[in-house]
Amino acid sequence: MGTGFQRDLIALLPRLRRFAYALTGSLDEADDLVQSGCERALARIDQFEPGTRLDSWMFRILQTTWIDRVRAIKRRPTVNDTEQMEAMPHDARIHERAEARAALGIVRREIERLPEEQRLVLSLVAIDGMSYQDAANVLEVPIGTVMSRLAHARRRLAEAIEHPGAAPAMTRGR
Amino acid sequence: MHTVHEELLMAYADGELQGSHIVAVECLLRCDSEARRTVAMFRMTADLARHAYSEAIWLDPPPHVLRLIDGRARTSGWSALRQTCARTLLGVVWPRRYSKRTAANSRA
Repeated sequence: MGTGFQRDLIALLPRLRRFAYALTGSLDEADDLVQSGCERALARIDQFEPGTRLDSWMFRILQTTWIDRVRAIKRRPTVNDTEQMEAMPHDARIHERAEARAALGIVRREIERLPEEQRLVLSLVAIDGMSYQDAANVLEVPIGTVMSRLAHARRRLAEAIEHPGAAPAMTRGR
Repeated sequence: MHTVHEELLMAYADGELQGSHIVAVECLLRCDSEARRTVAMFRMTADLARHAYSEAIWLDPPPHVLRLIDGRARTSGWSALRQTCARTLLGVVWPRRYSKRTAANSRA
């Protein structure tokens, strides 16, 4: 499996990067996640069955890489959000508020606040445009679970956009 | 509120329904303003989510990731060549030695 796989993987990079951006909330972290995902994929290249869908395989690898990272971060003691806000210089808070006024910035922030499993489904279906069945295959869950998580995520997102500031702050993975 | 009814409306908004289900939902939408608002909400959230991350699609792929894929593919190409050569050599040398040894064993 050589150049064909390589060419298909490169063609897939923009979608992988967008998916990673939605998971991490930052383009730098997204690139880092895509790099780790590609490293994993290339190390397991012999496990990929030619004729099956490379995109599903890669999205699954990226998803598991991301979940491993989230778990590793959770194990490390971290400064909570309130402490971070207090430690932040006043100018930075003003800058953050100014950025938050941009509509898409608000959307990204609210998506970042969604529980991990809802964000994953939203990223695959609403952001990448996968069908419910394809998303179910990537996440290895029933299609009913995909629909339920997706509806919850979008209802929550709509409420947060309609009433900014009213949504409860949630941490990743809950 | 989150119901199966809501999931059906979401599936309609996402173009996931077929045939009689589409007809049933469109019939409902004609007389139920709440259902219309729900479909609009699902469409809006999908549009917003898609646009929020669209810049990642238009940027050039990160060069270090391209180098990684390119480099590994070349490595795996050389590695495949090495393996083929090794197998060929083994095929030429190893079976002869093996067959001599098994022949000696059978004589003993």
